[in-house]
Amino acid sequence: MSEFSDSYSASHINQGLVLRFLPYFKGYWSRLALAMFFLALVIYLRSVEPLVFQYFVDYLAHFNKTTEHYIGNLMRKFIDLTSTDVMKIAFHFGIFYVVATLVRVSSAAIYRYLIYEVIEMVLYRFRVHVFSHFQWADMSSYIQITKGEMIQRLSGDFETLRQALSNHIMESLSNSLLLFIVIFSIYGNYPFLAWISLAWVVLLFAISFVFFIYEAKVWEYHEIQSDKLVQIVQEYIQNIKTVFIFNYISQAFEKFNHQNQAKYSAGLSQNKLHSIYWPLTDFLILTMQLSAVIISVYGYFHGAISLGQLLANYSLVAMVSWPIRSLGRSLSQLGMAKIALKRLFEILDLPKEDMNSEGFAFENGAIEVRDLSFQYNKTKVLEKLNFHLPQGKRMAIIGRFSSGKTTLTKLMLGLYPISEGEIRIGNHAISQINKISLRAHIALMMQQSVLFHMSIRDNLSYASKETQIESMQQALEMARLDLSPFEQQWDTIVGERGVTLSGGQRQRMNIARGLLQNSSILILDDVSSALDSHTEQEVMENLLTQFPNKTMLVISNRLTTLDYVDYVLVLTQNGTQEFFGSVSDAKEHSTYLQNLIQVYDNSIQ
Amino acid sequence: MIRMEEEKQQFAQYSKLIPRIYGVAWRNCRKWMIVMILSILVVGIIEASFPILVSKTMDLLKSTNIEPQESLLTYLYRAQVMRYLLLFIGLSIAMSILVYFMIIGAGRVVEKVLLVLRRDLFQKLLHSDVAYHDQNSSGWLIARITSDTDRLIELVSWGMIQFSWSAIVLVFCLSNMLVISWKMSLLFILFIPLLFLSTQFIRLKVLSYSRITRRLNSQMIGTLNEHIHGVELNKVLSTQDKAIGFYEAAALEYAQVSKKNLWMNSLYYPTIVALGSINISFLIYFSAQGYIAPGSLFTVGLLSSFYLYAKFIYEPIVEISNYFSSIYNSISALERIFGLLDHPIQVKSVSEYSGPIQFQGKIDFHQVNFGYSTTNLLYRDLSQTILPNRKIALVGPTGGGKSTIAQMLNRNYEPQSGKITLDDIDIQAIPLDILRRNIGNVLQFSQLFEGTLAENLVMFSSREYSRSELVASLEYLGAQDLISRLDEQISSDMKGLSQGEIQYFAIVRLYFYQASILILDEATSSIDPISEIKIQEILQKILQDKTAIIIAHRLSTIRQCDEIWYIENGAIQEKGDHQSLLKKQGKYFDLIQASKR
Repeated sequence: MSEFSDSYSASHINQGLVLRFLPYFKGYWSRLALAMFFLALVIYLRSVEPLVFQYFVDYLAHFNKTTEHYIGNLMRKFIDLTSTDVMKIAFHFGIFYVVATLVRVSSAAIYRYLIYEVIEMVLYRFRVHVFSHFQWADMSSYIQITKGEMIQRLSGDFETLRQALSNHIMESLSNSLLLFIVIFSIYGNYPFLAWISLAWVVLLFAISFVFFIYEAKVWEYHEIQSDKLVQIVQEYIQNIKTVFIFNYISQAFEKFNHQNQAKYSAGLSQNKLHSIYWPLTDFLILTMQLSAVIISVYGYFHGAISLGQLLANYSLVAMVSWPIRSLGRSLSQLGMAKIALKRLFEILDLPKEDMNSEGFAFENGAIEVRDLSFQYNKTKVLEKLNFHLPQGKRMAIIGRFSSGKTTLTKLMLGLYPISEGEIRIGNHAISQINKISLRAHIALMMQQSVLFHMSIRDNLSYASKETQIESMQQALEMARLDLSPFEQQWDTIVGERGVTLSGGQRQRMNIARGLLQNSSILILDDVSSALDSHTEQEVMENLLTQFPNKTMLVISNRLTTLDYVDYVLVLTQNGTQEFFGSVSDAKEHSTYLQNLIQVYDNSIQ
Repeated sequence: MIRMEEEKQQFAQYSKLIPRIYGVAWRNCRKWMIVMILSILVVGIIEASFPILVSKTMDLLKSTNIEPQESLLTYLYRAQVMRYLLLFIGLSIAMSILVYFMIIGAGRVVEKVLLVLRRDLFQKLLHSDVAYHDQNSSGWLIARITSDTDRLIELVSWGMIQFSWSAIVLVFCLSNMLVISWKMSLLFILFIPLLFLSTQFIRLKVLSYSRITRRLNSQMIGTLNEHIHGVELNKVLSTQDKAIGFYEAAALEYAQVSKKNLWMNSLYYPTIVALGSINISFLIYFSAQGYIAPGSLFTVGLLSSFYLYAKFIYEPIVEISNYFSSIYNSISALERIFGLLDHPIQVKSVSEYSGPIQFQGKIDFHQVNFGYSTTNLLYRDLSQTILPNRKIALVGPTGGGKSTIAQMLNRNYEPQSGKITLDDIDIQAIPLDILRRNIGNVLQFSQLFEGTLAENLVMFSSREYSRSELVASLEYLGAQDLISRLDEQISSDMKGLSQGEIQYFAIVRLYFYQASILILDEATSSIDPISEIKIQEILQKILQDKTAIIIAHRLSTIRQCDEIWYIENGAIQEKGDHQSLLKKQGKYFDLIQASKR
């Protein structure tokens, strides 16, 4: 997908939606052109069809008198209209009709085969591009477009777009083309009528265009209401247990109903627009047909056309009524698609995470933090942190809740930009380092980590090149996860986000996965809270004693953790640093730690 | 043969689901449905009668010779064509008006059906069992309300229009053709079943392709869902490319099948037209025979209107086959919607109740047998009593059954046998809302909602709190630090809050719920020991004069309880207060020793 890389989307931000979408067709233009050729053939043959009847009726009514029409000249090549053998001529007409239809139908099939291939592949490219842009987007993007909205857009809006591309663009194109060919055919019969019909068609197009503009507006409003409804449903259904235990059912239902009504009203206003457009165009089409009849009668009266031509004119004009109706429907869909496209390009306009392109190899896993400050939404989270952790040493981070412990770990991976100061890893400031290399160097095991809907084996090897059973076995042993309760062992599918596992099993999977990353720095963010104290102690002991070469950061409120670490960083509730130093110094100088020990002692007496 | 069987089953399902969806429309929007169908029928008749007008006009024109020096108008009068022209104008105006009603009616019906379905689905989810929510992922359930309902738009609005229009036009055209020439019409009538039979093969292909497409589509959306929610993890693990690879593979597979599905679907129309052309060529041949036969009644006008009909009649046939393919496309949505609406609810609320609304908080377990599956019982013959205002701590290894006690009390899951009473009333005899009002819970992973902190704290209270009352309550509890934060905005995914903070807010929220029985399930697990001291003080005030069940592994929390139950393998192994259990030197003693290390 490299051809649609960042430079592409950045340079196209201000261009029209359609222009921005065109590059996705790259490589498919020749196939599209071929498709258009078959489409033209289809439309040409469709317009020949009424002429078969015209010629035949004229032949029967006037016998030897021939009619002239340049589109019909094709037919005259095959059928000798001067013959008096009526049955033979009828037979020829029949054969001609069947052959023409078969050619038309197979061209239509070829056309569709080509067009669907192009459209599905273009959509596939676009889909993957949007998805990968979201994966590589800056963390701040996820506030602008929430994950729920993102899913809605990549599923719902894509469906709208697909509908429009696979049916409606081509349909409206071929319908418009048909309109002109019909007028062209009429022109061969009776030029005056053709000019009049052209005027009608232009009027219809103008009305349809206005309709299209309004449709897009109305639909955008409808989509906003839809999004709001989805948000309400998501909020309450995802947290259904909270709704249950607090007896919030009727209130939740009331809120839902309110928004449900809003979506309903938005749907009705879209309908109102349709209810004006449809009868209006229908009426115009009918008056167009009527004028065709009247003018043809006039022409017949003055001897300008034959009866067969009168019939052909009527059926030619009648032929456009369905195309015009479906043109309205297609335009409505295209209006919706325009909005869908706009919403999808909004995703592509999200800022990307800054990736310094050069890969980087670290020499060691020392961590140094200098005057580090961080703000989130204008509130101070961390202020003036300073510490130095040499390669291969262990440090515990302790502190009260919301003291910024988790934030500190995320800053080390470069997930958020540092407001002030710097973090140096292996003696290099992380702002200068390629983020992929940085993240390969550090294994962060997050507090509430998710698993993917795959087998245990695939989940474990997800972030590593290591897929040997032995090393996975080892990692599981370290994390004290026993596979024997699982019937399918390594191939057990863990369900969406790992739902089929217990909280403790999920946490141990998370630890094992982190170990398999084989990074020189390990950060454990409260990874064992769901384990019972016995297992927790075993796991922590394993982790902190078995990897002497790794630098480790551990967030934990367990005092026992302090037995295995070299340094302690104590944070206050304001995100400032109360203490940094060795464990024994901390016991002497950190008030927080002293309190903690006291609380602990009190509790076990 | 297997395919035929499959299709038979499918049709059996359609025959239930399709009438049901129209039943919903009929019950909720009868008036507009009638308006819509009537206008479609009349529109169809008007449209189908235009060829008659044309044929009459043509015949009259042919039989009336044009006199020299005559004006067009006098000619038209003389030929008696004028009334047909006026009729044409009148019908056109009538038709436009009817189309207006048709569109309005269709819009009303479809929006109403969607409104009602969304409402019913949401309501159903709000009253479904916890077990049902546990078994089904929330994303799957949410999609029922959001995307599946939208998929019915085609079926309900266009489907009805297409079908009624086609039916009336087909009948009308055929009867007119019969009047013109029954012999030639027979050609058509015999041909129509042949058309449907010969397109059978395509229909079966479309059916199987659309099944595969749907499966691949939900697979693709599953991958999407997972990696959108896991986007931060992918950054942490640097696995973006892997995630993109998964999605790319799923999307490619989908694209390849979808394109075949679309193509197959589009073959319907050409096949019908191709077969129809053979039919029409027969028609041309036989009409010529009829025309030149001696004593023939065929006129040029009749012939032309017959041709117009012969071409026109394929429109409804194509529309009907489109209708069937829209059924194929929406059938899975229908199945899922009605599947959700029909699933049985186990935990039912009673409607008649004359007992108290407020409870003292005496809880009894009478010979309760419980298991998450009927074959594997966790609790056997559990009988216990908890007196009002007593605080019970539940301790023991994970999976031993501590949380199950809370699940049973909340009636999230019900025992296989035995009963649980609250103030000696069977909890199954208490309406669910009254029961829930009396039990307050704090879960390990609490959820806050979008809104300010103040809104969140009193969100579930049964009465309004003024700002000053709120502030006074927080002062009473000792949670003064929250006062300055009351207007802080909380987002629905609780961004920027730490797990400990969320637990803190959830505990304070419990105070405003004012329930008589409180259940705390690992409510302070993410709060550091120092902060916990303060929060314990707050908790003591909240727990005052309440019955409480506390699941915890922190000693500080457990020790203050009146009674400790050590639960393992679905049985209460030890029971007593902290001191007496320590003296016993049993499992509880071991547990305490382990945590001291």
